[in-house]
Amino acid sequence: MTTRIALYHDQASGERYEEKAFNKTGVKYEKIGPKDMIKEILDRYDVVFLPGAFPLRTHDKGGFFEFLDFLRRIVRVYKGPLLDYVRSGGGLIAVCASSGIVGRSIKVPLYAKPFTWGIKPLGLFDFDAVYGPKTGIVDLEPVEYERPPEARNVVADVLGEYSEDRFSSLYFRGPAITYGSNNVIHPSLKKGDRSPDELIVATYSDDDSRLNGKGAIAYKEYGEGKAISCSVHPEFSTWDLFDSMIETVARK
Amino acid sequence: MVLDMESEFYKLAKNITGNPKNLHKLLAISPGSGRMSIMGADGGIVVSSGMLKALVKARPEKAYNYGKRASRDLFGALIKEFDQEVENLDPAKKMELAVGLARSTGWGKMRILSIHSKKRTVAIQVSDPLETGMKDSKDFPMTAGYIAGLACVSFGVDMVCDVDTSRSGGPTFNVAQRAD
Repeated sequence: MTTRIALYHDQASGERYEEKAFNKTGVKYEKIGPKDMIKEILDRYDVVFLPGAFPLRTHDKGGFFEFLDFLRRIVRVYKGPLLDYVRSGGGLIAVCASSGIVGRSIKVPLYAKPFTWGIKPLGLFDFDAVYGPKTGIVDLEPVEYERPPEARNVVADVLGEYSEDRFSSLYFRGPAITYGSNNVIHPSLKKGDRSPDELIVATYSDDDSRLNGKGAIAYKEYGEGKAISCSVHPEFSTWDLFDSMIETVARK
Repeated sequence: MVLDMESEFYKLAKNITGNPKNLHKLLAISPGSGRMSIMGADGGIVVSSGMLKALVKARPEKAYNYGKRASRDLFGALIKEFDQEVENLDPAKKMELAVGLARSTGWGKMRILSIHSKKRTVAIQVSDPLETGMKDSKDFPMTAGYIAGLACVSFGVDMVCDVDTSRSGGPTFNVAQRAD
């Protein structure tokens, strides 16, 4: 059966890049807008994509305040439907700007701070996120967990062929993610004796200390569903990474 | 400062096309087909050095057209991949990106002498062009075609390239709009 994929869009979303990737790999998808962000409609899909956003106006969309509205809508208006959707078995993939607000806390650049006070992230993941310092190319390192074996399997499932070696991806100031200060091992993994419900599958390997060693891609099992937070943009160079992500989180 | 996507895309494009290390990171070669992708600009193909020599030694008009088609395909697809932010740049800036790409992919050590957006002219000096060591005659039709193709994509009109071998430091490639 074909996986039913929804791609969210509004006046500040950057879904055009996901569309580029989908067109290359032949992934079929439907675009959904703000009025579709209710559980009854989300439940029609096996995977929902939340794309990144444009902070400045371009392509007749985006702009600073629209960008903030994009973030606010996700954490305030869509929080209930999105969490219910994943809890009941749906799959969620959040990319770049969106991936920063699915954790438990988010730090934003100084200029945006006065406008983002009071924004509480979704809390779907347990990580703390800090929007990153640069745009360009970053290297990502698959995390090698010694145990439990389920953690290694998750890394292989989420990254697919890219789980075997370091790989590069384009990057537009997506979040660096940790659990507390500089820790990339989820607390549930420290004992190493149980199947993890959340883990970081890839970390940054970069000259910038604000990125190096921090989490870039995270995976979460939430209720009956699964979610991936992807802070980089695989759409441009490693677009087939979406294939393994979709396969991993899609409602079975 | 708010993130300016337009200049960020340009900086990114410049960073990639002007830096072999970064270009290499975004270059993928399919082991099965030998097909090459750079940032999703699919369709390039890897050829052996023997085949490249044969192409370089083709009749000058043919070699010129091979070069021109190669750069139009590759740079055209790359510009499209970068998106409107780069596609809408001034031709001179696009030509800078194009020269970076050519330099990074082994077409010779290129130096821009001049670019005039309004006059639609470009002058580029190349030390060690691609043809060096591959053929005896001191003409460079494939490199000339390649540079003409880059200019076609950058300026959005058909361009032609002449070679001046009289200058020291390497042949100079003068590009101008084709006169109809």
